[in-house]
Amino acid sequence: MLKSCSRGTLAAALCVGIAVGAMHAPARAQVPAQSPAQAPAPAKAAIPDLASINFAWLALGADWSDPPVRAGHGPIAPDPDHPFHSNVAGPGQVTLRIGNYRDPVLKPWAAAQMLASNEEALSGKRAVPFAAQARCWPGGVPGQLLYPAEPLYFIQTPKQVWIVWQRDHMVRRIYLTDRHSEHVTPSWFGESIGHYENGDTLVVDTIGLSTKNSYIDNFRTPHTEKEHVVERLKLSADGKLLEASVVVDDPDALNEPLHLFQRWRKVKNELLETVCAENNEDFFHQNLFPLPVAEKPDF
Amino acid sequence: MRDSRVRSGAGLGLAALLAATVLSGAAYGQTPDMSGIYWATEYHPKIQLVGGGELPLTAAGKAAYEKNMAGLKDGSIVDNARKLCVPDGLPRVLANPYPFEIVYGPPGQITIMYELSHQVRTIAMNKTLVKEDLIAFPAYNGHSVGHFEGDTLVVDSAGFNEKTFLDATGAPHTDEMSTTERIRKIGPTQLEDVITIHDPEYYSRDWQTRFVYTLRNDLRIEDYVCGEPHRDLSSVAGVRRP
Repeated sequence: MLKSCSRGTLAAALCVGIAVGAMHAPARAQVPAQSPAQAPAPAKAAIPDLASINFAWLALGADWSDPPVRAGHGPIAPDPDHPFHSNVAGPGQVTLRIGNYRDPVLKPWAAAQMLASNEEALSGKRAVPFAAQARCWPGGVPGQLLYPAEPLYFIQTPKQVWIVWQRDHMVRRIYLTDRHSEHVTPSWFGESIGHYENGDTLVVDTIGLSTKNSYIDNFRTPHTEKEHVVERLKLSADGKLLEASVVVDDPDALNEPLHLFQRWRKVKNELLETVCAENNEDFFHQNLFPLPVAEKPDF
Repeated sequence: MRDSRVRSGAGLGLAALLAATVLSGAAYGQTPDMSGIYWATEYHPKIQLVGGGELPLTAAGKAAYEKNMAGLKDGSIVDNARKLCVPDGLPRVLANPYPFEIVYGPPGQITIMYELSHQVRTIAMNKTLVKEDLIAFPAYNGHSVGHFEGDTLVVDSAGFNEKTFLDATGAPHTDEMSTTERIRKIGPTQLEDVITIHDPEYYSRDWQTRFVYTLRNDLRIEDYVCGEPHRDLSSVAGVRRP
């Protein structure tokens, strides 16, 4: 740790942050005195303080919302013929998530795949449509950001950021570098690189996302391996909310990028071990999507 | 933090208290840096005791082991760590042939993240285990607290559930098991973890097993989903893929 503290402003600021520990003092003391003519913007902590053993981030919902400033095409909406009533939406019959497969942003194959999934759900063939984390699959990028019921945690070091979901202890790794690998083998969470901006934002750029059982949202909007996701994770002004503005580009699945938004509130919650596959059975014979299972031991 | 270091029977003397004073707060500047990615070079399905010999099972422990072995053989007991990829528990997770990483952070915690079944262990630094938590929230990998003694990270764990085996052969434990790991660098690229198992109902004495890992910061931890193809393990001696 000491070694890395001597290199680079980011590392130095983080080390100062670590050294002052609970005080959370920004790195003001490090800013050299300057004449008013060259006065910099007010000093800020060099990076957003996302990681702690004392707090975590709990999603406000399991669906994307429109970004506060409309930038382009928003998230895929429910099919107008099948309005969505979530189980936290107040009184009324809860309905399934039936996505708007007629949205012109979808390439024909993607629309057809969504229609098939909708019909499978509406016919009752699969009474509860696929939802990755409910059935112990990784949520992919950006879908994993939609897990609502248990919080996520950050770990921040000068070279890397980890996002750890309490749910089934899923982990995403973000390498703080400006360059993707030359060859990326597609995987559930792909390859994420990131950097901090303006002292309050973590920008994450992800490619190399595999497609099997991987969706952009809980309406089962599919993507291809060309999916490119940019997430901007930022603290609200009062520090009590974490906000993600997400742009999903996929020239083979979407006619234009989707602009998505998610929020989490800061909660006091110590990371517990919760194990998804435990007692996760199809008690009501709903033909739930199968859990990941190894038919023979891995080793 | 420093007042939380009052533990009984753990052999902590004045030196440890002094060390705790120095190390209190979130800074790790004075502590050895073990962060990085590590990978075992060998794998043993059956636990290997330090000093050799067989597990010092009590009569109850022997009966539990025989029941596990018979059940695993005839299928009446499922090895859910391999079939559903639930956490392995201690010390079995230490034996696994996949890489893992040790991260110092967030401040006040050391986090160990395993590629295998994306298991995460949090080690609260300079804290004590809270007995009520251990009983109320038994966990596959238990609850862990740690502190440094010189060059060694000492990790005490308890609060285990009874859904895990100590190894792939079904060596048993009770939910009263507690463990102490002594983790240290034994060379520039070698990490050693010696774990002591204390479980008097099943074992007539405390016993130890030892693992050595190689620093592999050239690797990245990969996504792991049960039943999918995973990393090539041919470099790890003793791995037999069915």
